[in-house]
Amino acid sequence: MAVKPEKSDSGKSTSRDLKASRRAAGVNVVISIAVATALLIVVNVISNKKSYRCDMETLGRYGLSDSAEKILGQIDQPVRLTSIYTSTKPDRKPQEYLPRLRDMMGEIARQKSGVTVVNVTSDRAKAEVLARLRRVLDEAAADHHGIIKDFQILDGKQGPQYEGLARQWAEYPSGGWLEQFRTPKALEAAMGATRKQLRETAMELRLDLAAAALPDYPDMVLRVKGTLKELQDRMKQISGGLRKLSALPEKAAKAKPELTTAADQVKTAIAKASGKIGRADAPMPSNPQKVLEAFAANVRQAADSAQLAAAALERFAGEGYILAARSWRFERATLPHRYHRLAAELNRIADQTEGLLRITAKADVQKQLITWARQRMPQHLAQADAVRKAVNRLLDELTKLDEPTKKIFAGVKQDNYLQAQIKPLAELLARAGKAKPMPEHLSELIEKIGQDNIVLIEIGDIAGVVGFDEVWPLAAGRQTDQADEDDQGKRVFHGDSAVCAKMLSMTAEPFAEIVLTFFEDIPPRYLWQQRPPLVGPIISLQLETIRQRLKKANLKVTEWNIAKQPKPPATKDMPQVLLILPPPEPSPTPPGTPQQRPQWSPDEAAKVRKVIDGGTSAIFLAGYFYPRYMGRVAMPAYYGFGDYLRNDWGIDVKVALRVIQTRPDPLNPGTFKLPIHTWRHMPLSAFTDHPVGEPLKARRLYWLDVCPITVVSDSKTGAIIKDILAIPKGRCEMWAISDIKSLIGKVEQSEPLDADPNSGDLLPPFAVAVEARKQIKGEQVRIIVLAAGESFTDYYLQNPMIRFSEGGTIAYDPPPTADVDLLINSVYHLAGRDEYIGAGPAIVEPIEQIAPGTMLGVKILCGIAVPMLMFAIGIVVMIVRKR
Amino acid sequence: MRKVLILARRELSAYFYSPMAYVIAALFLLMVGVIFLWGVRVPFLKIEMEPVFRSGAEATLRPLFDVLAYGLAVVVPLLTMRLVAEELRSGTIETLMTAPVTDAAVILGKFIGAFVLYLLLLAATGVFFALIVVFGKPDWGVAGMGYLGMVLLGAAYISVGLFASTLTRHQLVAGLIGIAVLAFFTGGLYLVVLAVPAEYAQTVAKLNMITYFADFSRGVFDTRALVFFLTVTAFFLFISVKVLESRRWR
Repeated sequence: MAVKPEKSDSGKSTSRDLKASRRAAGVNVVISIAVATALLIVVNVISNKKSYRCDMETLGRYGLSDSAEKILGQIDQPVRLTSIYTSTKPDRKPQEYLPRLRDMMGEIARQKSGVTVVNVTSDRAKAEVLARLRRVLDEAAADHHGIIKDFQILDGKQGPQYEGLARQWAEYPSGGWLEQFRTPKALEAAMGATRKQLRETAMELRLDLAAAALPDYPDMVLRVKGTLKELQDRMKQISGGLRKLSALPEKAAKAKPELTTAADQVKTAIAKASGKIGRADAPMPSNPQKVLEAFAANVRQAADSAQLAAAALERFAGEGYILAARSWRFERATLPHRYHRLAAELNRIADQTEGLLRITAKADVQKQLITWARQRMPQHLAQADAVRKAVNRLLDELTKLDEPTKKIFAGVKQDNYLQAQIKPLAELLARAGKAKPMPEHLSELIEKIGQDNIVLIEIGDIAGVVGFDEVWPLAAGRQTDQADEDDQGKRVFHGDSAVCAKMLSMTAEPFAEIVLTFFEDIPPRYLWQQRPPLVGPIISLQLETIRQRLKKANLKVTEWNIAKQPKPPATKDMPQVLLILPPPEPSPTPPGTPQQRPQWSPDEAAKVRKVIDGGTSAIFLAGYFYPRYMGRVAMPAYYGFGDYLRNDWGIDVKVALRVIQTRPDPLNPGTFKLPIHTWRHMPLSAFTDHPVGEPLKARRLYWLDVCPITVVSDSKTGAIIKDILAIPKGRCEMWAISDIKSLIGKVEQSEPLDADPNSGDLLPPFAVAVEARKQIKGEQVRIIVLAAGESFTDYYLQNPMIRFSEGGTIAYDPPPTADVDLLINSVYHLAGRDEYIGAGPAIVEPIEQIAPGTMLGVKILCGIAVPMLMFAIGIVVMIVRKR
Repeated sequence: MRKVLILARRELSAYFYSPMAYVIAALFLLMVGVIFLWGVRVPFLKIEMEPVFRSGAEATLRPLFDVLAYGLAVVVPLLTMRLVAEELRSGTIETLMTAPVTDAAVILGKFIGAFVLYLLLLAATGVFFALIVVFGKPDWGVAGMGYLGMVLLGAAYISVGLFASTLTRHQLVAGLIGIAVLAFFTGGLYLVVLAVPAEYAQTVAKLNMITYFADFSRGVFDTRALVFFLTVTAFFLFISVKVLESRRWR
């Protein structure tokens, strides 16, 4: 039964109490929720400041490596990491490659305060980043920018001037003095072309500035310089040409008397000779012998005068512009040529006349000759007259200047013509020549920013870029080093090391010195025939890529040419590591040869030995060296440090053997086939747990001309040798061959291959890279021998790799630049900086090959049957509940 | 505590006596199975994921967990939407509130009931992990941390779902509120991170549940993540209690 509330004072107060208690409860709830919120925030802030973090992952794939942590620990400036993964290419999909990178960058931000991480996945965000970098770049390239801007101003100013000049030449009066040289048309075209070139270059620069994310300012200035130089040269040429032309009237006037006289003389001489035989209708002379003798002599004189006239004309013309004059040519030949031909004709007539007189005295024959000469001579006379007139015409044309030309020449003679154009060109060209070089890091930024999927690192004012191939290098093959077709595009994550190594190179100073040690005598090129360059199998000039990479790895690179310097360059404050190239084979100088050249000898090896014995570490680059053939006899391969390494370290570098990687021949079990692309690019990543090679285990590295290294069995050197890269026992598809000629023959004939130890082939196990250490004079000395020397040359590291893809088509992969990491790791190790060796990607065992039938079964069972079963249970429960 | 367990058992029984638990489990396993064996491809959303279980792939459940972390933001509120809303709709909440149990015990009991069901669902994914073990060599550290992360994430999601359920008597509305809140704390904040300047992005990212789950997912144990999930769970349970309490004086 409901109780009706009484309307009374007490009832009012109850309602008020209820309201008050409700308000109090509400306030209480609000306060408690606010306190709970505050507590939530405070607890999380505290836990963020003091936390414990532990990577439970066995391989440590998702945490940072020790080396990365140490490198991060050394950086004391704010760092901004930006991943720009916006590529839509199927082999670079951000969905596949970005998450792992993002994890790593997040991990860096957690490890190190002051690191800001930005992930850019859209083109809009990328444009914002680029705009920011552009401001930095523009600031650094103020000099370049100024030059480009001034070039555009120059285009604005000079463009109309060239247009005006072109118009001026177009309006040059027809029949004017310069027309005879076709100068107005040529200059009109030249001015038009100059205007066009100026405008096009300015337009290109404008487009580059507007369209390029980060304009390549050094390249743009280079283009400006090229254009300015070309225009300046053209204007100078035009100005110089006009100056020479302006001198012609005076020259012609001076030469006129001589030339007209010479031309008159030719005509007179021919007329005189013709007079000796008379006209065609004149009676035949009674004494033809005498007439012909006088005729021959006069003709000869006429020929001489023609030659003289030709010479005078040639002297007059020299090599100047007269040669281009319209009147210089007469009847499709030049005037001197006409005189030469006339002289030749006259000489022929004289020769025939004299000859006839010598062989016969018969009057009737001589009369016949007179008749013939009477017919010919008038033609020559007419020709001489025509040429004379042409000479006069030429001289008239050259001397008679018209008014417009006079005006032009007045400026030319005062050195004013085109100076208004040449001066600004020269000034800007000089400025462009003095432009400050762009800082190295910005040049690299410009070069790499256009690549797909990059990591941008900004530390203070310096920016660096880590490319996609550095973060995601190619993975080693699954089962063996042979890269299966399935594995071709597989990549492994190496971002931790790549990013941290880049940070190190951007912040740290060089901490070790690499002394490139070689024995070379390279004379100037013009002497190469007499003195061919004396170099070893690996030439120091072919190691530019290595030099650049070593510098970027915070190493100072110097040189020691043993042929010229007695000892390596001195260093005080950093450890030295010698990088020793194989020396050239000694070739004794024949006795009596005047110029003695330096030759490699054991004494030279002793110099290196002395330095190493002094405690300097060294890396020896060796490899397979192709045999030299003396006729049909192959000379044994030579390695100048072979004896030293064998006797002092117990290491036998077998430079005469070449390691090959084959594949089992399915048609001939027990035999092998040589995949042709492995000849130049042999995949091998069988690194041991040695700190130098261990980080490279999961990466796909390719090698060229590898030779095996073995340990001398009865060596008493006391050296401890450890393998870095080795081919283990049982790798039956790999061995080292001794007879390359026979191998090539077999491959050409498609014959099956197998190793033949009896003929000198070497079967695994053997090493390809080793480290040796021993005590010398109480100090521990370490060396590393890398028997894949050719793999470090520019030729190998800069050319793309050929791969036969599915279907037998040829595909190209990027150059095998990862090889350099082995060298850099070796240097870090020998310099005592193991902590800088990148951890390298972890080797992950993938899910094994699943048969299609099994996969189908799994899909039906787990993907369909289990959920359906659950659903069925639900239906059963529903039915039971309804009943 | 005994009362809490009794309430929890009651809730769990309610799930299994109705076809709901089975339907949800079936849908959950179907979703996991599709991701695990067929992968996900939604071209118009640019979502593309290879199957987790395929020859040559890494032997790990990590990609599955990473997708599930988002998927559960939808599944869990469906699981929890009826917890209190149903009581409010049917009026049984009055009986419950007059019973000798505290509001906190009611909320905790319902939470534990839902949480146990969630654990059972999660345990069902063991079938898929077993496949990985049979055909590959998974990293047990990553797997263990992944499951721990899923447990903690699930607890946080359930507490949010439970809180949503206390707000309304309509199950569907409760489900939608739960989904919206979780969507904000996962995908929503992810989009915010992309939009704000880098300086603030890291702070915003710290509010995202997925950020903390990512550590567990890749095999990293971090006390920050542990504290975050535990405090978030406790916070939402606390305000759920407060919302329930407010019924007494509203």
